[in-house]
Amino acid sequence: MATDWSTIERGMIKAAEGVISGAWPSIVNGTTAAIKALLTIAQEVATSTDMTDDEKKQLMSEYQQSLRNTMTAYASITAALAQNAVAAAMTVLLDAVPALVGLV
Amino acid sequence: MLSSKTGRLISAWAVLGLSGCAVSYDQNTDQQVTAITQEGDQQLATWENMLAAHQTISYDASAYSKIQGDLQTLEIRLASSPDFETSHLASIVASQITLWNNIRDTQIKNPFVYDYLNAQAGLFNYNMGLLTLYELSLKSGTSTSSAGAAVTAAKNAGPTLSAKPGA
Repeated sequence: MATDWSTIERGMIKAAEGVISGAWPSIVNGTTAAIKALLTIAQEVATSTDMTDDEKKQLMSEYQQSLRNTMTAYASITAALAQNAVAAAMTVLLDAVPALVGLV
Repeated sequence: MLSSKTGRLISAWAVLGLSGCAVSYDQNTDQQVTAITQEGDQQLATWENMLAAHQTISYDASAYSKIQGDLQTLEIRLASSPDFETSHLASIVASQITLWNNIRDTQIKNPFVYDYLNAQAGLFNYNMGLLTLYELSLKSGTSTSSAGAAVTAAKNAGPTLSAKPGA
């Protein structure tokens, strides 16, 4: 079955919103756009047949860090809150894309 | 890529046209961000073009030393800023040092593959885009207190992955 990346994107955004909660309105534009834009990296990792698992793990680590960078660039978001929000979003991603399980 | 998003960038600044403590523009930081972005883009594009032409990419320590050194200098400069809005962005630079360490370690272990370099280029550009837009917002004076304005605009731009050669 084809991966529905649009549904994944919406699920990740909802998961992050649930964690960020009250501060969400102040970061909603940047964070939703970031989740959407960076999903191209996850797609590349999930579909590439040329990369080793080590390379894919490295990229997924940097992918998560880029999401955290986006959130923590807002002074109102602490590193711990961003960490939790990214973790929640990643759970959605991994549940939907088996090819990424074991790489995060 | 970023230039095509100018309209949205201006919109973001307008919406977030902000109050709060003034954050000063630092021309040296701005120039460093631009130089490092160009340097990294050029190196990654060179490698991608070599792969497309089926050329062998030899390990060259100097290719890494230069950009890692420049990133460390930028990290120190940002971290030393007296205002929190700027100083906490040093963590973005730290993540880019890690990115280049990862690329180096990968090249030592295996020959590069196109998909890997392409994804690394996307991540590098994305994160440097955050810093670029932040500096532009300070320079224009339309945003005085929020990295968020720049972040919003940079996110709208997003990373662009190139088409795989021969695909």
